[in-house]
Amino acid sequence: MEAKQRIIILGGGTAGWMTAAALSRYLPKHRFSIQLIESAQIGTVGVGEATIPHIRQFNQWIGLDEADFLQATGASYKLAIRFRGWGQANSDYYHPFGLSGEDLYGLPFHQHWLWLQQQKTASLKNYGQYSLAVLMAQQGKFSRPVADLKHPASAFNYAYHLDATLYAALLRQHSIDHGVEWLDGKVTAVTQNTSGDIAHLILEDGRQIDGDLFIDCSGFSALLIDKTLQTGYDNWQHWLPCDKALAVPSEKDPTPPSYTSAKAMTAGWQWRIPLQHRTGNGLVYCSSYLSDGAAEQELMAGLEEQALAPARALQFVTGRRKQSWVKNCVAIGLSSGFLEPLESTSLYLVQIAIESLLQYFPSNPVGEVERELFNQKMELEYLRVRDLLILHYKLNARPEPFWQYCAQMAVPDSLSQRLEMFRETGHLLEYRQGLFQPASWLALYLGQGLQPQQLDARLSALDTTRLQHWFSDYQQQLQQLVQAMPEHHHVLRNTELAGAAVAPAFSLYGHRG
Amino acid sequence: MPQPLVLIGQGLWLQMATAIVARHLQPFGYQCVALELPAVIKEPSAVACGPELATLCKMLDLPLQQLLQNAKGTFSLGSQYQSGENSWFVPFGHYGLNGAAAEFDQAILQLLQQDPDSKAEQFSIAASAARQGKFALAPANRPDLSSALSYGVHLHTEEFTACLKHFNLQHGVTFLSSQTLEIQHNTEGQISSLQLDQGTTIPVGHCLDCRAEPTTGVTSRTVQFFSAQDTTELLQQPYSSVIQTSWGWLVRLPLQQGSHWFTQCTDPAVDLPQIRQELQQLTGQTDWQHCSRQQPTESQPWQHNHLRFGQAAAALDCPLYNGLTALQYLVIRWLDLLPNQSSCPATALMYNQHWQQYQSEVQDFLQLHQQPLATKTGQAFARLGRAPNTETDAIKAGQWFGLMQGLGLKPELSSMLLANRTETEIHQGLRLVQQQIARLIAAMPSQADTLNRCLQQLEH
Repeated sequence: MEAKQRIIILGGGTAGWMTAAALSRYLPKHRFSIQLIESAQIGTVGVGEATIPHIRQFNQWIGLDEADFLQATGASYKLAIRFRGWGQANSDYYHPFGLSGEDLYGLPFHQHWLWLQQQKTASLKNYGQYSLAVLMAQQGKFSRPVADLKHPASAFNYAYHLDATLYAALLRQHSIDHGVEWLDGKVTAVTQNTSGDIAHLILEDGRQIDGDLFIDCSGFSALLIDKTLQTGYDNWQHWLPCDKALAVPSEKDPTPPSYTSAKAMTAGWQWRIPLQHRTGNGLVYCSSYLSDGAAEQELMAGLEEQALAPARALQFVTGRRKQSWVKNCVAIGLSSGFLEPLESTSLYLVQIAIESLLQYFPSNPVGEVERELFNQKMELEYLRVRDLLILHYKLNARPEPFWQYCAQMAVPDSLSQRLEMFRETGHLLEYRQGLFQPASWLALYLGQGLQPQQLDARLSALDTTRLQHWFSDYQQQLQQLVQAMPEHHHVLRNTELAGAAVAPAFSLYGHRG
Repeated sequence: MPQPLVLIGQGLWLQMATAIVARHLQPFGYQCVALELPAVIKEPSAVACGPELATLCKMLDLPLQQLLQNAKGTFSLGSQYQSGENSWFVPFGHYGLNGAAAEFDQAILQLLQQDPDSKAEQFSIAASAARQGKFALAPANRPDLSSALSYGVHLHTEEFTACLKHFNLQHGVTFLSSQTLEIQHNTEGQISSLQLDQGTTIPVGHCLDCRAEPTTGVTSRTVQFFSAQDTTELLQQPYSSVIQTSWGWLVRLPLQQGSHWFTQCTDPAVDLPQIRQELQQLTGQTDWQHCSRQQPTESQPWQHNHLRFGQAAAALDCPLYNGLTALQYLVIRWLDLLPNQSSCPATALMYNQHWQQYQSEVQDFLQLHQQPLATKTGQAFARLGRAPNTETDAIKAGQWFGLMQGLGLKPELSSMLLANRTETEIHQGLRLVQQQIARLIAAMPSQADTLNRCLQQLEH
């Protein structure tokens, strides 16, 4: 009988346990053994309290029931991220998990909206007011999307705010139930064989853990992918200059909003993530422009509820490991790279890495083809998320020195071309691989005040009055739909109010996305 | 007043680009001018259009039946390949009956690995129908089948062109013709006007250039092109035939009466008499037309207000991939971005980058035909059985899979996403799909019947 392929996952945070849960779901026990090494002495960062809709598919994939998940992780529903103070000090816009409006006369909705804005149409509302997800988030309502593509409620999606520590615990139990062996131990040495592959890990108590494939989920320490294999890191701090964060829990909000809050501050931004049992808060900032003391003061002053513990400090270097898969080691989570949680992408990047690993799962020894495909895929995912994050900082007219630096900094070519194209014509070109599609880029462009110099050449031929009527009728239809929906906090208490669950769409924007 | 759009070129490509532009922009008050220039390259006598033509016809409000009737067309569910003793089908549609079924292709590969007598086409409704000479449009109550039954058509080029010209005239397109053309540029490098025979000048907002021949400064290669026609009626073949030769591939497109053969060779050291001899042996045809032409090999289609769509499409055009499909894509994507100004360099740059992506996907597909394992795509398939993630639909998922498995690439590794399923479970699932496909095909009419019904509908 052939020996089992031994998979060693190092690290037991969210990334480690998500990996364990997914691998144990798919890899047959008679061919694979999975061990996860976690040290009680090493804390976890607990990333990913705010998520994007793809997490629903992951949960479904590994067989987690939504009601059980909500209860176990204290989760609330999430429809959007609310950005206040971005672009300009008084700005207030939403990046929804949903589309705005409908295409009309073969042209995208936003072109019509911009056209009516240019015509100074008095009845025209903010762009977000034509998005069902935004209206629901603003009015504290929640209902699940529908799969019928003709229905406006097919044009949004939802995610969760969750307690990452509780989620990791839920996944741990799930993984152990599916045969994952959980080892408590701290790695003190790593041994490589002559090919450079990792052969085994030595734990503090002397145990030797042999493996064929090693998954590095050791977080920022990147014990295997970097400390052992010295993969190197692309530092993106010149584009995303925040390098520190403070996190503090506060009391729960009795009527938690169904959106994450991201408020621009003096030299960074403050998050607020409402859970069922507490509220997560934090400040991401740039230490060159704000002292630690001033940051803490700013964070505490911005809390809407009583703090439950002292603030916890984090330091990070934004960027990405040059390769996520080297030799027989795959880095997943923070060991693979760090992007600030402005768009709640941490768990998405973990999920994509796990899915790709399963798609390109190697033999023993690992082949170059699967390594290369995985690395290409992950590079593209990181770069595309990175560009949207940079856009938040770049597009601003705030007076503070930090924001002025950001407004003036050079940005990657991939982003500057995209920005310039929108400035020229108000058009966008979508891509197929990568997370954010035109709806997301538009939410930011328009929310942060970017105005195209020209619009589509066809608009001037349209009947403006008819367009205005269509906009009014459509907005009223959305308002009526939202009014009929239950309150978000009622739905959290009585999950059956949320309506029949439909299979999650693998898109940020729902079944139409 | 919108800027004048001027389309230049000749033949099918000019008429197709004009039809798309005129239909899209007429409701917005645009006046389209089509300038017909003398043909430099003789167009192939027949053309194979992919599934995008049916969608395009709906968009244009141009009945596909009319094209079938006027251009002596037939349906195509894909291509039947022949390489020595091996034969396989490359369908336009996906395998299985549910396009979203995860890992279905992987399940097929596992079966092929375990049972060498099995064939992938047993799990493709298109391939199975094609083999039996059957063809039907997906019924209205089964929209789920429309993607698996994606179809293209084979059309007679001259009649197809005439149909489109008629359409364009009906849509108010102004046609001009000239034996000569002089392009006038302004100081910023934009085309300001076109000067025709006898000094006639027409102003230009954007110039959509559908000429295929490379202009000065554009890199090109020499292509030896061979074509022939025969009178054998092949209505029992709702597909193209693709036969491997010593220099490449030979393609046969059946029309309502007779069929058309095409092949090309790019090897500069080619022995032309030997090609003729081999063609005669393979087909029994003696009357082969030969021409040598220059094919552009690079393209940045959007330059200032000059859209070199013809050259870009020509860089891909060959018997295995019809440049018309590329031209349609170029025009439609450009219309999506229709600018209000003649200079928008960032938009042009992004558009050209996107086109590079499309082009590289097609080139990858074509390269697979020559040396499968010399391509990254072939290597990935040979290792993991997976086709690449693509940015465009230039090549459909079923085509990637069909071609690579047909070329004999067998993955070294099997899918881990299926590893928890037993062999029996996988085989039962596949057999179930196979049975459903067989039932659907049993009730399907022959291509000849479907074609007759379509043409009768037109008469009534």
